[in-house]
Amino acid sequence: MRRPSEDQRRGHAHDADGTPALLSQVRFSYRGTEVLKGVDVRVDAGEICALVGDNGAGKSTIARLVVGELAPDAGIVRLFGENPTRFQDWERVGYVPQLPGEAVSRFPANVSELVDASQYASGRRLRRRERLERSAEALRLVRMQDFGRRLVSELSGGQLQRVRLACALVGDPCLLVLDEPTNGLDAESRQTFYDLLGAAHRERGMAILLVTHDLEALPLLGARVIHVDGGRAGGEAGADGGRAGDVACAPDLPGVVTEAGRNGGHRA
Amino acid sequence: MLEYVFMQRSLLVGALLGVVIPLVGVTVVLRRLSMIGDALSHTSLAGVAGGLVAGVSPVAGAVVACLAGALCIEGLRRRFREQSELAVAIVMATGIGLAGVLSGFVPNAANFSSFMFGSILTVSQGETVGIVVVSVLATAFCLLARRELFLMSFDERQARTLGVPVGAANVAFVLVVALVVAVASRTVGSLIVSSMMVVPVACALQLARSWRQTCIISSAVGFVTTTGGLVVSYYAGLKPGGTIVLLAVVLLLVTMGVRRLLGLGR
Repeated sequence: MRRPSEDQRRGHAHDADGTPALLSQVRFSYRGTEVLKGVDVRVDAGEICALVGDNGAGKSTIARLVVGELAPDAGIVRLFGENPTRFQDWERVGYVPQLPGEAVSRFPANVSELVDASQYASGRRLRRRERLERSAEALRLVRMQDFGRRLVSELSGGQLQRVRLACALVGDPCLLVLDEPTNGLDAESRQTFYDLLGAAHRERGMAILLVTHDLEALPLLGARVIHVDGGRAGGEAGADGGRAGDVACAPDLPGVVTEAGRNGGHRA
Repeated sequence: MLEYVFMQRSLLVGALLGVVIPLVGVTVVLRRLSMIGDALSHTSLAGVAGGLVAGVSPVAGAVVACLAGALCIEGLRRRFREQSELAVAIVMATGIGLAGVLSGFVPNAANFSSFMFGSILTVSQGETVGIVVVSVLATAFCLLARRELFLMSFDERQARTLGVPVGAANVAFVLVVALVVAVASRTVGSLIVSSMMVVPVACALQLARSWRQTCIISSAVGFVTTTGGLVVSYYAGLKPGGTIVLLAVVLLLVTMGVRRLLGLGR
């Protein structure tokens, strides 16, 4: 459970102060090609929302819009009620973008340095001892507490992603945005990652927006799944009155919360 | 050797540049912007030529050209995010082209060519003051902005969502690089300065176990090779700029060899 003193010190609580992430009728194009065609996505406080779909469907684009990397051509994107491109309170957000592999192949930093530096948003508010405690806590959450002095270039793919998750968790964010965090990992590493993510969610209660292809992990996370297809996502009415682009891919997975769909998808 | 004022001045300038060029070079190398050093050093030649043609201080010309080149690079990188190396190549091509054309109008060709390989032994008192000021400013920037530079070097996209003012930091960094290249081109030479940015960092990457160690070792290698190169060139009668870089390369090869012998790998 979240520590009340943390919220009081920051002056806000998880469940107040605006929906963590909201997209309403968002359209977006890359170099003239329309990628998102009127998307509605909402991530409420404390929930896990997974975006699934084929490559090129627009899932990562949605994540990048939420964190203000991109600005929509039309529609509204809000991050805790604010325009993400002008958002300042980054302590409330943890982001793990896709990372090109060669970026860390020779990067001369150790794990402790990286996690400690990721507390940048808290600025000089924290004393050194508190920063060290938060770093240690974040590494404990991802079971990397013994890897502090290891160079990031010496980590396996799965270990590196866990460290990057720790970097996103260290500031105790209210919203985590993860863009295909298990890309290129083997099955065991993927499972470990999602186990740790689920444990962190149970302990801290933050909202999570997860872009993923790993459908089998979603029931264990209790994720609400939104299927992104052809630039559309949950929330758009289809011609038959149902909601187009709903979870056609995961109707058989137990415990998956889905949007009602024209294909007979169910609401759990 | 040390009784000569020109050697005292050269060693002071060399020591300062030996520390600050690799310090800046750590971020340049890790952000895969090594071409920026080349681009700005070619641009500095255009500024030198322009200054000589216009009858003003060639160092001032180098500074103006480097700053303008740096802003062009940053502007083009934002425009062509997916092909940022093209922005650097465009500025480099423009710089070298202008340098080539303007060099045809330079009244004293020997003065111009001294900027290519540097003339650290003839640096004036005024230029020494300028180098001291720029070195202190650049070192202060690298220290004060070390967290920003670190996070942007690892993952610029994540850095932005950690609250790092990426846009402003990029502009500030590239301007600092431009200033360092501009003042260094007079002393160690435009063709040498980008090597001084890269080779000490390559040495540090063989040994360092943290970002902090990388910065310290890079500057230490730069200090040792620059001052050592000056001493060697004095006694051996060699060109200082080239000697400095070759000494750094030798040190890099030795470091790599020692790592291999000790079986250290990544």
